[in-house]
Amino acid sequence: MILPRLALRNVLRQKRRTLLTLLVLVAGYVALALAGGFMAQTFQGLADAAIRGGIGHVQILPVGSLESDEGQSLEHALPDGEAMAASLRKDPAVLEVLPRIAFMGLASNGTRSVAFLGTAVDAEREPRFMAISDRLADGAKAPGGVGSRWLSTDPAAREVVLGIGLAKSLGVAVGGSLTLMSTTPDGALNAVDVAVAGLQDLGLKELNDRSLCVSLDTASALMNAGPARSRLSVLLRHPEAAAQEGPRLARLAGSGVEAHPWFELASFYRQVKLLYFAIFGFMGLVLALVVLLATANTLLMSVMERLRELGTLRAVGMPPKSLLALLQWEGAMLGLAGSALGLVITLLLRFALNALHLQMPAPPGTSHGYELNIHFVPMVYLGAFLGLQAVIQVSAFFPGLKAARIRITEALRHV
Amino acid sequence: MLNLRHITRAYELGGERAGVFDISLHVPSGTLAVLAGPSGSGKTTLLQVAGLLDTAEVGEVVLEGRVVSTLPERERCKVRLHRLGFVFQTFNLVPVLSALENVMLPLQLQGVAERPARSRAQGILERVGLGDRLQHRPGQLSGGQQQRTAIARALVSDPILVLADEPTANLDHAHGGPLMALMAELSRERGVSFLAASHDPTVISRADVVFRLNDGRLE
Ligand SMILES: Nc1ncnc2c1ncn2[C@@H]1O[C@H](COP(=O)(O)OP(=O)(O)OP(=O)(O)O)[C@@H](O)[C@H]1O
Ligand SMILES: [Mg+2]
Repeated sequence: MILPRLALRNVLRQKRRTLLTLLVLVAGYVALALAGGFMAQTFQGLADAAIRGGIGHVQILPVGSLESDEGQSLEHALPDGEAMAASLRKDPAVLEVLPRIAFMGLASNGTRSVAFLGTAVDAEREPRFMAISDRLADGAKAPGGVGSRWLSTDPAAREVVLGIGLAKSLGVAVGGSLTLMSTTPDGALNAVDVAVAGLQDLGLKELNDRSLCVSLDTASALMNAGPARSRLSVLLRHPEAAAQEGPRLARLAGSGVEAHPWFELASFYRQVKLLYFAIFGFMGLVLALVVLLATANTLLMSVMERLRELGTLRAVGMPPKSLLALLQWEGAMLGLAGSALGLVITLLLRFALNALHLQMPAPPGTSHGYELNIHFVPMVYLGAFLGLQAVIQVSAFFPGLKAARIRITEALRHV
Repeated sequence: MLNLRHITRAYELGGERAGVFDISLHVPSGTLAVLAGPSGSGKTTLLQVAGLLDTAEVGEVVLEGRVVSTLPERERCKVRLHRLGFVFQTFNLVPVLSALENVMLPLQLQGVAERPARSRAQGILERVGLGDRLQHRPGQLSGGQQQRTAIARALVSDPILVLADEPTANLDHAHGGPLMALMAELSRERGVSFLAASHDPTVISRADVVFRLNDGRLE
């Protein structure tokens, strides 16, 4: 173990220079770890929003409904979605199955009609797992929104929750009534009178102006749907298994269906992920370059300063490859110290930043800001360490080569 | 034991040829041989060729009957590590290692375990009179002590030949004499040969054999 010992002593020899290099390494580590933590927070938040926003972990859909525009029509539905949901609920991997109907129609207040995009959900099961009723509180703050509540779970109740924009253009408030009109699968026009149970602010003007939500029973009555459902949102006991479980659940559900894990459908999530990887990837590259140059410079200087010493080691019988290894060890020691110090500083900074409760601006396409909360992700900390270490080992290679290639006689003559 | 056969190592600099030319010599085992000659006569050049630190253009280095000068560098490393020892004018100890660690170094490079390496190194440091300086770094030792440490390092792996380039040149007279006496003793005690380059009369007076170099040729 002569090499690690020599390496450690050498690193400790030029304390000031080692400290300066460590500073660069620590900065690199902290930047990587904090950026990684921030990315992890963002991804998790977006994933959560997509899953709880209605997709679930796995979506079961009629074959081809993603490609066609027929998704909004019950002609292209799962004919007995309820029975399918009931049988899937028995699967041990499944936590819950939430059938949904997506539909379109007109909402009328007697004098004025507005086109809407409707979602019909299981009024009892849905709010237990999904974010569908989370924005009622925000809706309650809107004009006419006072007293907003979720849909009644009584199968006979005919109620609606409206986007605040839609409520405004129809001029209704909580407790008011509307007529919803849509078509049955055989093309007939049908209408149902509903009471306004609540308003919600969905955070996006386009959604607020168009969307409404009713119970499956209400939608069935309106569209004569029977047990037909547009799709099933499946929640799994182990969400990370979504990709593997999808095909199995599709087979289990029967023919004519396809299954998609949530991330295939969450396009916003994927776009942001790509964007972040591009931005932070570029940052990481610049960082890697800085670290590479700083360490290579430090190690090269230390090689040039002890040419005679290295020549002596070679004279005594140390083979060139051991000098290459010596420099790798010196890099490794620098990296370890840098990462260890960086870890401590990152944890302190994370604690401080999170304690500040900084408000972050609303992400594009949404109307709500959020509080900065950098997650503790062990994988990110490990990744920052490994990434940094890899860069350092590469940067130690050139000084190592220089050391391994010295000519002994010249090195010995060096003062 | 050590045979140099027709060694030529020439430096061409501005039309002038320097170095060593057609040197043949024999150092028997257990002898203290001195390479004498004025400055620039080629002592260092010859020692470096003999010690496999440099390669001659012509001639061969024969150690224990084996031609070692034509070996690839990997093998030359092994010969230096196991059969040769080096002592330099400027001591050349590793500054970040203690006297004991410096002496342990060749053994550790050979793969000897920490414990036996330590006790062998300690033994030889005691033999050269540094039993009470084991943990001192080179910077905390006098020149004479440093050179004795270097001799201990050269001898610890039981080489057959130690090459010493002006071992006393950086020591004052009071230290040079005793150091040479020590080398003479060790050479007899251990059957090690020394080939020392020097123009110091005290060194030359200790020699069993003296080779005189002048302008790169043996006289
Ligand atoms: N790398 C080199 N390039 C060119 N010439 C060299 C080189 N090394 C040595 N020489 C020349 O070879 C000759 C012998 O040098 P060497 O160092 O062997 O002499 P020396 O006997 O050891 O002298 P000193 O007693 O001063 O140490 C000198 O003339 C020197 O200038
Ligand atoms: Mg010389």
